[in-house]
Amino acid sequence: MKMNFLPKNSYTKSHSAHFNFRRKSLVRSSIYWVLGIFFLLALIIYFFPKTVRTSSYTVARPIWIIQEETVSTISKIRDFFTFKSWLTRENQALRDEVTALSLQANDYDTILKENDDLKILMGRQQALGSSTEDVNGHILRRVLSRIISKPPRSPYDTLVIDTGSSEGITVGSKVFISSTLVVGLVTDVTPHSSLVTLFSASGQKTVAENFRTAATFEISGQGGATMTITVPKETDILWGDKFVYSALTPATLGLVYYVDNTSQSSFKTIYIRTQTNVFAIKWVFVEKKL
Amino acid sequence: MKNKIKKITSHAYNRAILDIVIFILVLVIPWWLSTCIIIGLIAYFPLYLEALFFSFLFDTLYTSRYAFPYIFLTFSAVLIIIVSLIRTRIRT
Repeated sequence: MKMNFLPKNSYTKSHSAHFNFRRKSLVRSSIYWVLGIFFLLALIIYFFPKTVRTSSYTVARPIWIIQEETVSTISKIRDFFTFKSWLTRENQALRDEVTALSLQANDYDTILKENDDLKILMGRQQALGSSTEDVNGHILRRVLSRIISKPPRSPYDTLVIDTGSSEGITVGSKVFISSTLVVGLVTDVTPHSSLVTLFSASGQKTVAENFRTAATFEISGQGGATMTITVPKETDILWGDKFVYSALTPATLGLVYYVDNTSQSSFKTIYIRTQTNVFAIKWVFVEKKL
Repeated sequence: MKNKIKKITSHAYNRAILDIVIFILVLVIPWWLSTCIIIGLIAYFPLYLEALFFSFLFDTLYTSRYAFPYIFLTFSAVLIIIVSLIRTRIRT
């Protein structure tokens, strides 16, 4: 019997099988490649974290600096040619001045309270000009650092600053944006740059004190310069309350800007924010031990 | 044969230039924008392994040592594998 369709059909089947085999082997080899590179890079991060970070910063630093310079030059040219921009700039400068003055007023309150506390304590050496003393008696001095990368470039609430171990910065050093406003801690150091993790970084836990009541709470970072505390509804925390970092010299972490009482449970959520826009600043002060 | 080699060289050259541009963008533009671009490139190219290196850069530059340090690396590896699996199924 003549069956001229069979050879064609068998050819199609074998061709399809061959194609499927090729497709599977291609997918398999792709997966092997991806997993191979993934494990290689993960092992590099695991075994050489410092070297990798130093190399990354060395590569990224010139690009960040060039970008900063370019943006500032372009904005200067634009302001020169546009009258409206000049007015906007002046308006912004005045707003910045108001913010700076409010920060000074906040600093004044903190210092006044600290002064009162010290009068009670007596005999404890504090505030030696620009230096301070920590609980272990180490003299601390602040180093001015420029921020070279900040959110929204970084997906986490982290900053990269241009000072590192060669300037005496160590892991755990506190980072300030004014004389008494603390925003985070140094979590990684390379010779010429450091990574600062803000207190508002997601998952970051910080023990802070309510300045008015002196009660201590654990504040959780939520990202986007916001921190929260969940406490029983009866807890004495009001809008505008100041939270300070527990230390010999208290430094302000932020102010309560919202109290969420709407929950049906017996708890309320307190939202705390730094008094100024952390992501708009260019310089910070980092504490170093002498 | 010569034309084929020329085509492959030109393709590799274009991809290298694109990688340099993406590398600069990863450092300069906001993270969510560079993430979108990288996801787009993973979907566009058959096997965009460079995404793993960009994710590695993200993780080393911005993650603190106390956080899980492979977030972006894991995300991009999983995404490349998923895309390659889907892509082969679509093109049969």
